[in-house]
Amino acid sequence: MSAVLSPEADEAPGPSPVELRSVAAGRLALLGGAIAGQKISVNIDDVDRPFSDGETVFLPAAFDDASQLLALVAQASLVAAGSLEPRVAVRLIGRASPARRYVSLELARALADPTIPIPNRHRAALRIWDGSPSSSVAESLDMALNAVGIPEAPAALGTIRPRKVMAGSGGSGLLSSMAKKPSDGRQKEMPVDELDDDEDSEESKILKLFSSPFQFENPLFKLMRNQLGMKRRPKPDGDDGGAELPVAGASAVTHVGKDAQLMAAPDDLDLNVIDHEAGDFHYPEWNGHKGTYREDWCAVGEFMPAEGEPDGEFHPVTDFTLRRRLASLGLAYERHRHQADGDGIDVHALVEFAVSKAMGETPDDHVYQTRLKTGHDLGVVVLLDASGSTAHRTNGAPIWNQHRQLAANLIGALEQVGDRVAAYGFNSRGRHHVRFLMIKDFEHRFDASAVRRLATLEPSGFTRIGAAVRHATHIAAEQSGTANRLVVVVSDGFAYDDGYHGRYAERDTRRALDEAVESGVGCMCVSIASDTRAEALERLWGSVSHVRLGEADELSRHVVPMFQSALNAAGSGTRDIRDRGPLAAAR
Amino acid sequence: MTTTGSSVSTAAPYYLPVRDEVEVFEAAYRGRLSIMLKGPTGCGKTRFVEHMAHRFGVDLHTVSCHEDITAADLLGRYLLVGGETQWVDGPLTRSVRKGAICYLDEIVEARQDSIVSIHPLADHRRELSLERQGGTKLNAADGFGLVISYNPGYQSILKDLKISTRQRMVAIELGYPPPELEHSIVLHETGAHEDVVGDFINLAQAIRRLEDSGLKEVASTRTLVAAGVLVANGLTPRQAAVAAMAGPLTDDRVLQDGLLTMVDNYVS
Repeated sequence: MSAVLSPEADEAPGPSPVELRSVAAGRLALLGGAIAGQKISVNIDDVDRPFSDGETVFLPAAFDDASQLLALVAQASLVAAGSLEPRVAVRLIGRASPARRYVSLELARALADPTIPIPNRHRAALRIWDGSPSSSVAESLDMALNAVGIPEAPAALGTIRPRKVMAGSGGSGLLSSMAKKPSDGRQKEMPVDELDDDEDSEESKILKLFSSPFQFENPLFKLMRNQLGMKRRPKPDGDDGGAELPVAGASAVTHVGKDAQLMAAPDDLDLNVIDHEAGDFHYPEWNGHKGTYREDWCAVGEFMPAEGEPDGEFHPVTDFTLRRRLASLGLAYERHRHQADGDGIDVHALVEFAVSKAMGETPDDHVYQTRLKTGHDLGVVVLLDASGSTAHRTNGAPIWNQHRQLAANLIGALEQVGDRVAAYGFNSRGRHHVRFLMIKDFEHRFDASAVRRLATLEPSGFTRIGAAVRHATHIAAEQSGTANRLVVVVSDGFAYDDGYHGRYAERDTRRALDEAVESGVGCMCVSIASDTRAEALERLWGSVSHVRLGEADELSRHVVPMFQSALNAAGSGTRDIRDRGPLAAAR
Repeated sequence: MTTTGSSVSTAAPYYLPVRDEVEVFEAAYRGRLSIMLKGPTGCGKTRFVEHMAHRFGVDLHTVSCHEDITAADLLGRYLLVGGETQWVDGPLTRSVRKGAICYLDEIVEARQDSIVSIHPLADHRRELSLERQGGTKLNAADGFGLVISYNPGYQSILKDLKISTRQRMVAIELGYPPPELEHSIVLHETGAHEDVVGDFINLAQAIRRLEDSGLKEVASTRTLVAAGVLVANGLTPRQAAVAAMAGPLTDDRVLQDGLLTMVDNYVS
């Protein structure tokens, strides 16, 4: 039995070091997640010391297995104990020794918490501080800063990297507090070693603050950007800058001529309009504040993006696991005639049997018919969020790349198992400019030109999810021709557009999802390594299946329950899909 | 369909109450109300019913429901016996006649028409209508009790219980017992060494904390007992944890590796 589970059972000969790292990381991620009590990714990399940003634990590749394990347990325990609190991190900036004392204290606090399942064998190694554990993060911080004979945690257990913590998803509100006092003396006193410690990080937010030409812009903007999760890397060429800043924040919406801004936004795609003869599609939007629909509020246009060469980072691959799992979904019964056994008599076959017997031949005794679930009866619209926020980078690569990869895997697998699939990118620049960028429609194959269109899509603009879901629902309902219909949104799950944010956006999105489900179109959302907070995702997508993956190839693990629950929610009340759809008519 | 009728034996099946479930069950049963047990796989729903049936000294008929269960499977049907037809009671009818507890395990798996057939039994009427027998109405004998179980995991989105069914039930929510109680349960059931059981409990607690991991289920009390039994029968704790706890949870290679790492860290 243990052989079945043995990790070395079928190891390929001589995997590359990178592959080995990723295998080891995958193995450790589950343990880390169990201790932390939340999803943890592990990244084994050329870092000099273990640290975590609250979602990913970074481990030095130079460590041996046992040290990596111990460091993982330590960092996951810190996550579980809530030690990676941005408010604390900000006070540890540039203070290496207090940071290490803080680690000692927080580990002691984690060890004392019976709900954190730290393996017994590692407990001794994590117990650096023997005194009575502190009762809260704040107390630990206090003790660490005032240093009353508290031992520093050894480097092998890792450190707190304040800026990583602040850049992680827990960073809400942090940047704003710094923006308010950019000349705070403490930040100027950063010791050099701390800067070195962080040199592999993306550009420091603090340094950016000093160098930014917008240094004196309204701190509220930064607060907004940060709280809304729209943390982005400044582009070197900066030509997209206008489009990437919030066109209209909460404070600006009433004052700024929003249309002027939107018209000025650069059209960075070479678009061939395919649907403008038919005009835009108009959809209402739900005004949650008043509890009414705004009729004809949003205009959605379909565009055909230009084809280009796939860049080096994008290779559509066949995900065999995904394909196998998808093959079992959205099936319909089909009648099979001429069977050797079955639950009914095939009258035609029986007549042939009688005839050939009467003629003295050897009759074919396959005279039964049976009904088997073999017919594919599933239409899926894959909706890929092509808004600027997906260009945000986590672990180096923009999540857009991973989203695109995931969409390609999904589209390819669905097409190969015989389901009908259409795919669109979407973004928006205000309610009059919601754009659907066609990758493939239901009638065309996912061929080379579709791949090229997908490859050249550039994320830009914003995300008006409600209108996008409504249009995708319309496409699924009108064009799929199947009884089971799904809309799969691949997105960071974050709704933001001009005059479309916060509670308003959440309510409209939820409304659009409910409308879709009520009209018999199942919905689900998949995101990868998104830094949208879990509660925000839950508020937006809580009524339908949604999952946040670490990597594109994790999709296969979640696809069956997600698709099933989405299909079931859409088809509830009808237990048997025989009663619907074209296959019913074909019977 | 499997039905089992257990007669009253001498030793009560072991059940360690976690909260007030025994009192609620007792009050509902004595008040002739139907009971819905909610809880994840392997948390002890079936054992609880067995224990309660023994406590009241009545027979227990268990039906493990699946999607091909029809109303006739529960109520009864005519069978051909030697050229003549003969009526054979189903487990539900038998319980109604004899005054036993009928336990419909995983009821959401059954077809809607068979679930609806329990409605008149589950409310104040307490009568069973046998349409196949010309609409014969049977009044439930004293001691009859209807218990259904229902696992509100993500299955519930696929197949949910109708509101009209739910309303007829008294709900008892069971979960995995807290670590100390689970420890005594596994000790009692398996006789494995205390420390080994402690390790298993820690491992299970850790697995239950995983979020969005791709595991469909987590390690249940049942799997803990199974692991303990394996240890009592000569396997090492690690072998037992791999075989009984990690192995059944997933076939996914990466997840298996992750679980193995967890086993290695929690089980000595």
